[in-house]
Amino acid sequence: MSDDEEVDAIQDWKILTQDVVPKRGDKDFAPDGTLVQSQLLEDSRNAMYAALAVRRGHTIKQELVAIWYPERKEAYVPHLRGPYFKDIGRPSSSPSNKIQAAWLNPIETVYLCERGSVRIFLHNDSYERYKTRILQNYIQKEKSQGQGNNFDDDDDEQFDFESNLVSLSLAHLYALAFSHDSTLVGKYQVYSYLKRLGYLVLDFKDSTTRQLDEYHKLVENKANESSISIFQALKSYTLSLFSSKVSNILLAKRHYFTYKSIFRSLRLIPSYSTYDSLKKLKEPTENKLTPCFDVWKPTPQFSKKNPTQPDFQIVIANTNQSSFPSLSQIQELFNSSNHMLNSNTTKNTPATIKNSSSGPSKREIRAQRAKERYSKLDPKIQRSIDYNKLKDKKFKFGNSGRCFIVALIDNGVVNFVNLSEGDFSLAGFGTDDLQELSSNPNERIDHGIVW
Amino acid sequence: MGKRSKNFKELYPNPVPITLSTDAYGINLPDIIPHNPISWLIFGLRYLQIQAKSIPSNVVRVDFEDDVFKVLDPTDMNRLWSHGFFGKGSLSRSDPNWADRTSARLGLDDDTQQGRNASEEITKQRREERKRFKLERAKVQNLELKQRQGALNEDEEVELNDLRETLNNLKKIVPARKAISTTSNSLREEDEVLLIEGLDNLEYLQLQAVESFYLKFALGAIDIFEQNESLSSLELFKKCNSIDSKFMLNYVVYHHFRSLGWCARSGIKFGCDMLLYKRGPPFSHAEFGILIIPTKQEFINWIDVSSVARVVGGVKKNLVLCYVDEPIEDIELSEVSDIASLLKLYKVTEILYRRWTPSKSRD
Repeated sequence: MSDDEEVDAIQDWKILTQDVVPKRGDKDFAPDGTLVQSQLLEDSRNAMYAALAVRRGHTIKQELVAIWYPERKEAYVPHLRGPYFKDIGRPSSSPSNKIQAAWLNPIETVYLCERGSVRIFLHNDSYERYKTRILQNYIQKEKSQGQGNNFDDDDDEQFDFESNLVSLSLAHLYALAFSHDSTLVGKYQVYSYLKRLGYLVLDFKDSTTRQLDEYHKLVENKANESSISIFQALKSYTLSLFSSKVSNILLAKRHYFTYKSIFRSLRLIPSYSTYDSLKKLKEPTENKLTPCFDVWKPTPQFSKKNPTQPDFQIVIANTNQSSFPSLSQIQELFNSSNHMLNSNTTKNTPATIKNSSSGPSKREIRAQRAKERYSKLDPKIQRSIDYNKLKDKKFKFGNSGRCFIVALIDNGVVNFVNLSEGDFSLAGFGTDDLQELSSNPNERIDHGIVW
Repeated sequence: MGKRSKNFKELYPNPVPITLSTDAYGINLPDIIPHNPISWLIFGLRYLQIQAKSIPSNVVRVDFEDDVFKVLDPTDMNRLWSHGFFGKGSLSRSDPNWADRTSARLGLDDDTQQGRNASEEITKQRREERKRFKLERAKVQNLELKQRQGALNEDEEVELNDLRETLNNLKKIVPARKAISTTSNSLREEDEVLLIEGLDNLEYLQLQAVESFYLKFALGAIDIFEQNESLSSLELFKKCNSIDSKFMLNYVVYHHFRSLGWCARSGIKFGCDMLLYKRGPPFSHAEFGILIIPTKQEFINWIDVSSVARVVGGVKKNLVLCYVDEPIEDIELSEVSDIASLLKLYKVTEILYRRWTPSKSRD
């Protein structure tokens, strides 16, 4: 919406020292020559210094170590610890059941190193020898103990990374990780931005059944319903008798009884309706865009093995390399994105900003009042309100909910754009929920006509 | 809000300048209740009653002069404005109300006409109220500063409290919907001509090319004259295409949204091609801004789109990218004879463009 200034606001360090989120709106500091104002400024500064002075570091127990394998362009984490691996890393076979190991791709490696969570070393032969040794130990132990239940995993800790391996600086890691693929820096920028905001990010994976197959199923079902009743056929036939086209005027000269009927007879220009692009699934276009990341809002229940439908799907574009996507590129993306045809939900409505402290906001009070007023209304009116609300939502956010987010990179600056499939005529798929709410659910009406 | 919009619904009940036969003859068609044969009978009777009468027709004259579509007759101007909000008054901000404003300014209105207020007047008054509020607020802030500096004497303290009171009262005032008569303005020199010769309406309603063509071709609600010669739809079509090379694209999108009941008007003020209103400008702000893009256009600059989106988003409208498929074969527009068949060769696809802020989409 239009609360852009909220996003661009300057960091207020005082937040860190108080429990309550301050109210926005009033200026904190407006110099007027009085002590009050300069004191305010001083307080803010001190709060910032206090926030920065807090000791930051890692407990040795939690220390994470990764080894960069230059030939694999991946990092190996022999011992996973900490909360980072909910959506990071691919599990690797480890000599012990108790200890989990994982491989990190370049982006994940740089992200964890840059946030200071991992110490990274360059792989060499001495480490490889150590690894094989452990593996052999493990096999022997398993043989001797029968079932490998209880044995200590301290072997892993004994390897002295500092003296046996070369420690990598961040700059060195950047060079090693990103040099082979020029798109990685941009990807990393988007990835790290979203991760730091708390999102769960995985590489894009085509996880749904092909939309085209589902679409065909849907079409078959629709055909069985035989949507045109005899009455309607008769009606349109009678109407066609009256409308003889003369002299290039579209609206036939006859008696009209409703404006809806006038608009109906003016409908002429073919327009796209939801899922149409699935019908003409063509050869891939030249510069096919592919989704890059699946993104989830932060949630405690998340499994990277069996993730749910992603909340957002991100495509990365660079102003240096591409122009605004063409229609066929956009539609191809809709078609190849993770989308369930039958889950007809208009997604991604902007979240309302919650003000947990300091009582309900003005917006919440207004919403509450509207709710009360609504509950007192006649059910028929309530229905028509719901109908119009749903329709407005469909106009604004699309009828199918098919959308993706373009992360546009312009020389290091990232801008996010949401593109969704629009449908103003509301004449095809995905209008059953509207039909149910309409004043006469049995008669098929033109939902797109807003008069 | 509810009361106001209801008022507007009575003022502007018609979305197009076409009179419904039920309205013209005051005969209402009852709802048909399928299992009640009497309702069928009544419906049939009334239906025949209307069919026996002549089709109501009220065609507006439009003059095409110097590449401008003009409506000169005041009643016609009003009809096109109030029935679907077509055109713009040449001497007004939107609706053609120059004559009303001027006669109010010159004090020519009798009592019955008082209270008909032009939107321009209301805006002016609102701005004055706002200005007053800001002045008072500045006074309060000055005194508050003095108070902080400890230099406030007793009189000023009383004044501060009084000012705070007035400020609070000013905040409560509902912005005026009716302008207070502004007859007190002194007359201008050129007003004498108007006073002596009587107030002649100097204003005309100017139509966009797409509006004119829609009114003519789609609705048959206007007749167009060029040097007193009537233009047919086809002639007008060719004329419009010769004036504006993007006419076809614009018209396709215009017709698409108009035929869905939207009130489409020029989007030049917000850097886009079109604005979509529900019902019309008096009812609510435009909800959508339209950017027309021919599908075959190969290069579209990111910045062009994002700048439009930023402007449109900044005024709480949603940006819709309208991709238009054009006929595959090249069509010589000057040789077209059947416009409807031509229009069917186009196709409109809407893509919704919205800025996404990760920090606000998280919860």
